[in-house]
Amino acid sequence: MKSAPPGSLLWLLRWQTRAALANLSARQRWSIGIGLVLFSALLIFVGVTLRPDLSALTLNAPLAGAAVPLLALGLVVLWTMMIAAAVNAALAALFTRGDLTLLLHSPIAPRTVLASRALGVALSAGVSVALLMVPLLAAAAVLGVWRAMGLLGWWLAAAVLAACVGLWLTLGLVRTLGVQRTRTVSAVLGSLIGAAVFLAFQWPNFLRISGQGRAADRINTPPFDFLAGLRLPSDSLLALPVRAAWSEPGPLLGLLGAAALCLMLTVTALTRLFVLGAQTSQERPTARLPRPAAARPLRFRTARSATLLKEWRLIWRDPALLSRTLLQLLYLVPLLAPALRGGNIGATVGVGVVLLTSNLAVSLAQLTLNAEDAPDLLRSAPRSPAVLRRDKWLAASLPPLGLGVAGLALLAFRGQLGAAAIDLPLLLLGVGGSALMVLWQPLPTRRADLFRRQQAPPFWLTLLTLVFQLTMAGTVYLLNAGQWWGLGTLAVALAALAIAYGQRRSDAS
Amino acid sequence: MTSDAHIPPVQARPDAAPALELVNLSKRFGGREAVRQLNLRVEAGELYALLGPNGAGKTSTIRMIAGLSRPDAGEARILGHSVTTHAQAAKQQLAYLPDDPLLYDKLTPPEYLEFVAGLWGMNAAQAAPEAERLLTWLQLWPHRHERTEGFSRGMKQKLALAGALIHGPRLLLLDEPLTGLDAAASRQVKDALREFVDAGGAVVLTTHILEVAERLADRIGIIAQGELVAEGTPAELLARTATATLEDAFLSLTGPAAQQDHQTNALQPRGGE
Repeated sequence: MKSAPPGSLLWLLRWQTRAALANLSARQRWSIGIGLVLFSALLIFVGVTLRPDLSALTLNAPLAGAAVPLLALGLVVLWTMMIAAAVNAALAALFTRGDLTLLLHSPIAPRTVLASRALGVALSAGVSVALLMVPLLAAAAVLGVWRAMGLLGWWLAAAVLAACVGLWLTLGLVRTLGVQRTRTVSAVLGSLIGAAVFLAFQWPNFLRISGQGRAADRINTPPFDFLAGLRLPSDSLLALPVRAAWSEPGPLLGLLGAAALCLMLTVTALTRLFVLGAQTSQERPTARLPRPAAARPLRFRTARSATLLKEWRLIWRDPALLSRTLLQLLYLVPLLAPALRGGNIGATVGVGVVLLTSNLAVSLAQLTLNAEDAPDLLRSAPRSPAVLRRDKWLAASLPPLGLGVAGLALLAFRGQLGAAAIDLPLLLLGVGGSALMVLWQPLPTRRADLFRRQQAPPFWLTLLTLVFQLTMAGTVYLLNAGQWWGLGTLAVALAALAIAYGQRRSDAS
Repeated sequence: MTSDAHIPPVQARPDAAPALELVNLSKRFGGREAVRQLNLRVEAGELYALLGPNGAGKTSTIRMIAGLSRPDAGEARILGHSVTTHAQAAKQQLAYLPDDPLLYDKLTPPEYLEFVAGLWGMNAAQAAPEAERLLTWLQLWPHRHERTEGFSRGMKQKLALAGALIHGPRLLLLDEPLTGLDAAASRQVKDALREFVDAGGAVVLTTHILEVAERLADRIGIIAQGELVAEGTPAELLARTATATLEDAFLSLTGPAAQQDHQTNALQPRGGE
């Protein structure tokens, strides 16, 4: 096969893909391979088992009117996720890739460079929903729902359109806010959208809180009433993506054509802005303006206070990192559902406080203990590494403890003094123990790399931390409910902590 | 700038141990010997430049002295304290400044100096005025409310220098301290080093800029393939190599011909060196 001429769009795309694949670790490649094999085996099993039973059903009939609004809502959710991914990918592709300077000062037309980047962004946007789309498409294929194959076309068009929206948003934000602030805004937005979609999926769990266990009851709850009440005429423009996804040729071709046209227009319109943005992205972030010269003498604090302040300032002044850390807590909210069903306010608040604060302690400990930007400075200093790490452990533990104590104080204020008294020592143990688990297993990394998958702690430690936190939450619940065998779950938590202590290692070299 | 105004004199030690002493210091990375039985001595009040081609073992040596990497054999002693066995006492006298400054982007200069002073166990009441004095001297005081992420390379290097000097070290280790600095910043750093040495401190620096070594250093050590191949004042090195410039002397000691001789010597059995 004749290879693409150097400098052409295809040639650039090939280089880009090769670079992206080279960035995958061997572990990631193996995980993808094993995942594909297992998934295929599952599909074959499902197909062989269910297909005979479904043969009597008409699975490829034209879309029912009532299904259109629900499907449209689903597609909107997927598209929103794609846009969030596209903004992040656009920021990385347009402003942080190391080869951009080389490409832009080469004879390759900037429009070609932007087109290749835009297609890369579309791929990232598409991949961001692959975990939902691939099983859906594969299940449809195995079960013989051939009309659902239109989803492939919709997926392609939606990814391209999301990339266009992402490019416009990113370049617009960069022009208004600058590269650094846009990076923060897009990171926060991406996390928020991800968390919102997750919580929306968990909504049914919360609907069962007050004992509405039966399906009939569940369907009569207000959110489902709202969904059932949605109307969308199938000939409206908003229904076009749904009909395209259901393999109606006209809408499908129209959607694909619109996406291609939108991409061409976007690339043409944004080339100049892209070059300008890329030129300014290497500039230093705007320094804080000097305050009016109130010539006050400097006042320093003790070594421990200085360490605590340094850690808190570094976290507080990095909004992207802070938002990602705090938003991780949102993913724990569904775990509170069982406690909420009990109706015991002392237990509910206690479980929530212990679970959320101990998880926050782990996240903060990873920032203070593992993500050190100047490790050589600390290692060349005479201060004992053990003392320094204890201070960093304290820096991770104190904020969640403060939040937890505030929560328990509210509980006590509402007359639940006994519950607060039970919860307080468990809060101290949960927060302190969770941060200790990070302290005992150093995983030094750069702050910017903290959320990269390659930097994840070992699986056994994640499991042990989870066991510790869940059994601590269980202890809170059981002891508040007067179940003294809650001391048994406490023993399990302490055992998990003891195992982590037994496996401890030092990062001193 | 006078030395009295900026760098307080370093107190003399009664036992007068050298500021730095390396005894048979060795380090291997994989199968390669990065540093081979290195011996050298730097006295207080001396500026010593360690020169060598890329990969000669300069940074490996500096990192072992700073306690950032453990020697496979031999020992580094700072004012008589072994970096390996009495690390805390040795580090108390030391400041290390690599070419990439050890800073935190999100901190302001006073916040950074407050943390560094804490690391070296300084009394907070003494550290604050010292920080103020250093920031003023290095012309960073007007930028004290700004985060270092917005600083130029020269400003970052000057702040790192302030961090290195705040605890009054007696030995300064600098790895390529002038890389990327403009003329003004470079002059200021050089003046600071000279003042530090004149006040009784000792400096060991690595550099690729031979003019800097020639003009600044009291003694120069040339390292090649992990071994110290020559040592002396700039005049002594020129005399020994019968060359007119330090560049010629450097190339005659580390160039391809010298390396070939060196390899041949290394293959022969060692006599009483």
